[in-house]
Amino acid sequence: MPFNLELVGRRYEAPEEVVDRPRHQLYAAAVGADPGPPGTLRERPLACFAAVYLLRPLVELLFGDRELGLDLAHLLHGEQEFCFRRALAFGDRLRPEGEIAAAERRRGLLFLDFRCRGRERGGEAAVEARSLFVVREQA
Amino acid sequence: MSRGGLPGPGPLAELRLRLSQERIAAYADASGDHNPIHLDPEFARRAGLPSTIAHGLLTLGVVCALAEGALPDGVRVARVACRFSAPVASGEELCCRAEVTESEEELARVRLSAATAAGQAALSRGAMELRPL
Repeated sequence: MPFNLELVGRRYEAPEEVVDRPRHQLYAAAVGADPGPPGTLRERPLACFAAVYLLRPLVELLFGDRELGLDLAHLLHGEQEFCFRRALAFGDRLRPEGEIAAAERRRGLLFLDFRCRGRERGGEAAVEARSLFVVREQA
Repeated sequence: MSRGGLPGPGPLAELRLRLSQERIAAYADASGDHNPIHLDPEFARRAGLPSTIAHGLLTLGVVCALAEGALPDGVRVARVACRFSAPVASGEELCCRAEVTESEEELARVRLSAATAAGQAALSRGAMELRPL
């Protein structure tokens, strides 16, 4: 089922996420981050850990939206941007929100501009993200 | 070092790292992204690839972690951005670099790059912006 371009503007909200140390520990090891001296704890989360607490839950909603008909297995990640309004800390709680900001079909490929933000309980966005997803659509 | 405590222009960090299938699997577990194009060689071949490929966000995460590990205290990352310009096959070695290109009192810009041993850029327009904490 081809993506319906009229669905541009669709929004998603994921349950509140915690910027937590256990997941960060796995993430930091996977990306080869310097663990620091033995027995010490990293003071702040790595910037691209936002891929885990912000982007991942929203991408699951996006590609799980049957009305969109997107297939995660045919996704190519084109571009990524994260903007941080303040330094995040472990224990921070954010509510991920996402929106299909634009979509364009070119040469059999669908280009999706997906914007995300992680809002604090006061409503301010502490982190924002922009992803360009390129999806090979099924015939 | 600039007046705001931000690093001054010049090389920040460099690293060669092999993106082994074990590392790709570890990233899939850590990130929750189990797209079979990263994990299943047969699926990857059916998708027209010679092998499984690394997550783009793994490549970006490696370069960013490299840069962040070289930052002085009192500095925060304000922005990270890149274009994923070519897939990185499982087992390929990446040469990752971070270089401060501009530094002022309140803002420093870092160029991020990652290329395969054959010189193919995996990231383009890699950028990080730093601000005082």
